[in-house]
Order: sequence, then structure tokens, then C-alpha cells
Amino acid sequence: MVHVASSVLDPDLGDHVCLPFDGERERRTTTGLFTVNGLRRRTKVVIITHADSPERTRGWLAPLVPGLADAESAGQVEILDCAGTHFTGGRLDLERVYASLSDAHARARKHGQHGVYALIDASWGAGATGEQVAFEAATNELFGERWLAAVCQYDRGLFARDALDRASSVHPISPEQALLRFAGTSEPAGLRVWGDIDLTNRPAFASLLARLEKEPGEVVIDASELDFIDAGSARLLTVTAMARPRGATSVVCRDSIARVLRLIGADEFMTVRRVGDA
Amino acid sequence: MLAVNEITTNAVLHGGGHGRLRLWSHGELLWCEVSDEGPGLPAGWMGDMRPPAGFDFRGRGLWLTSMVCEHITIVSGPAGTTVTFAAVRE
Repeated sequence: MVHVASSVLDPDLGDHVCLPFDGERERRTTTGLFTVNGLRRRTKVVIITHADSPERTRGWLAPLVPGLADAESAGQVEILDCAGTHFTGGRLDLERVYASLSDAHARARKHGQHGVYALIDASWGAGATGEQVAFEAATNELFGERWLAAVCQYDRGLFARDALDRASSVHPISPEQALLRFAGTSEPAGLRVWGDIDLTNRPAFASLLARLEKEPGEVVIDASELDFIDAGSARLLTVTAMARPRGATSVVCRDSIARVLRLIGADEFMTVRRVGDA
Repeated sequence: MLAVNEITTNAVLHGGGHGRLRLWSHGELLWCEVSDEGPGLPAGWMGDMRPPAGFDFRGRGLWLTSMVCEHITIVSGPAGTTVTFAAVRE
């Protein structure tokens, strides 16, 4: 099994990762490794800067990434200031972030690249934790189409412990917490989830469920590859089903997950289908 | 897995933020002991061991554990709580 610490720098497209770090050296090393991995995967690497300008970033990144200058000329690596991707008139702008990343995806497709590998310096949000956490939660929906991988670098020297905990728990993936992957589905609308869900990433799961609450028609949660869900997160799923029309929510899952749902009385509000059932 | 998660979550959330976990196997049972140095279970906790009526919103970690485990022993006081439980190894 791949150790989490290294795999967070080599994420799958669709992964949204919170990566805390200590000190400049660790930040630069991880940026270098991430870039090399993104290039190897033939994705468009987008480095979104805040603490350092793009020029300064280029200066320390070049020795860490062989062929960086050529890669930039060829459009394989882009180094952008977050002022241009995240903010409009000094205000955090979610729509602008969506547009910036979608545009990067369009450019990636034109260049025959497999998706976008984004590394973001999260220091843009230091001092505005509530807004940043809400933003990170809102962007989770971008990852459901699985063309984008993003690693958000959180400086432990800048973020207080509880601010960091809140930020990481709203990311589906972070070291030392349960690891969740997901994909949006359609016809019927819903979600496919795999990995684990517990208290540590429950807020991330909550942000995905929030979008399904108002979905008209049937919603199917395909949890057939979900290894574990804790009771509290199963309750959250049930509350979502309760907010929806009766009979409009179903879950496909393994026996162990079905047992948790039955124990908490969830099967009164959603159809629980075991994997392998007809 | 579920029981370990529920009991350790209790230790972290209600038992002072951290605890100790011991795991061992004996025969066909896998045993787990979780202890913390928190303020102890709240008064009336034994009432929480009754099955809930319908869907319930509150944490019911102890009750869930009692539903999925073969044995459960709870020792709790103002200096801490220890929950010992066992399930058949699958």
C-alpha cells in the first residue's frame, strides 16, 4: 500500500488535498516533487502563488524541476499569481476560480494533456479562516468530474491549529485523516464515493451531500467501493435523505456499511441496496 | 472497526482530547480497550444503552458498540473512562 505522505504529492485527478507543511524548505521540495509528478502524468501543472511572486517561485523551482523553462514555454507548466485566479477587486471570487481552472482545463485539452494538476499556496486565506474554509468546501464540486487534482499548501507557521483542522477536514484528503475520493454521477443524479468517511473528513462529505439535497428526481449514492463510514457520517447521509422526497434516495453499499445504516435507522428514509443484490 | 472508531471518537471529543488504545486477540475474539483521563461519562449514561426509538440524531457510540460486540465493559469516573470490548474476528 502506498504511503499517504508520498501519494498526496502524486494525487489522482479528482483529488482535493490539504497539505500542511513546516518551513520554506518543505514547501519548495513539495512544489518541486508535485511539478515533476504532474509532468510525468502529462497533466497541465498550474502553480498558484501568494507568498512568493511567480517570478520568485520560478527562481527557486527551476533547480528542482529539470527542464522547467522548456516546460513553461510549451505550456506544460503555468505559474500564476492568485490575485489573478482567486480575487476580483481584492475580494475572493469563487466564480473566477472556477473560470480560471476551467480555462486551464480547456488549454490542457487543446495541448493533449490529461487534466490539470494544481498546487495552491493557501496563505491567501490566512486571517480569514471562515471564508477560506467555506471556499474550500464550495470548490469540492469541481473535483467530481475528475479532470482536476489540487493540493493546497497550508503553512503551519501561519495557520493556528484549530484553523488548520477546520481547513483540512473540509478537504476530502489530508494526511492523518480518512481519505475520500468521489465522482459526480448523472442519470440518475448522484455520487460515487470510495475510501473512508469519518469524523476527520465528515465536513468534506457534508459539502458533497449538500449539493444533492435539492436535486429533483432520484439520487443514487454508489458506495459499493466505500470501505468505512462512521455512525455520525451515516447520520449525515440520513439527514440528507430525510430532507429529500420520500423514496427518492438510495444507497448501494457493502454489508458492513448496510449494517451501520440499519443500526441507526437510516433504512426508513432511503433504500439500502447491498452490492450483489439483484 | 465501527466500535473502535466510535469509542476512540468519544475519548477524543469528550474524554479530554486524547486517549490510549490497546488491541489484542484471544481465541476467536479481537479485544480492544480505549481509556482516557477525561471527566467520565455523564450522569444517566446507562440510559443511553437502551435501543433508540426510530432515527436518532445524538451520538450513540456506546449503544452501537454494544450492538456489534460480544462483550463490553465500561468503567467510568471523574478521573477517566475505560471501555473494553470484543468482537469475533472476521
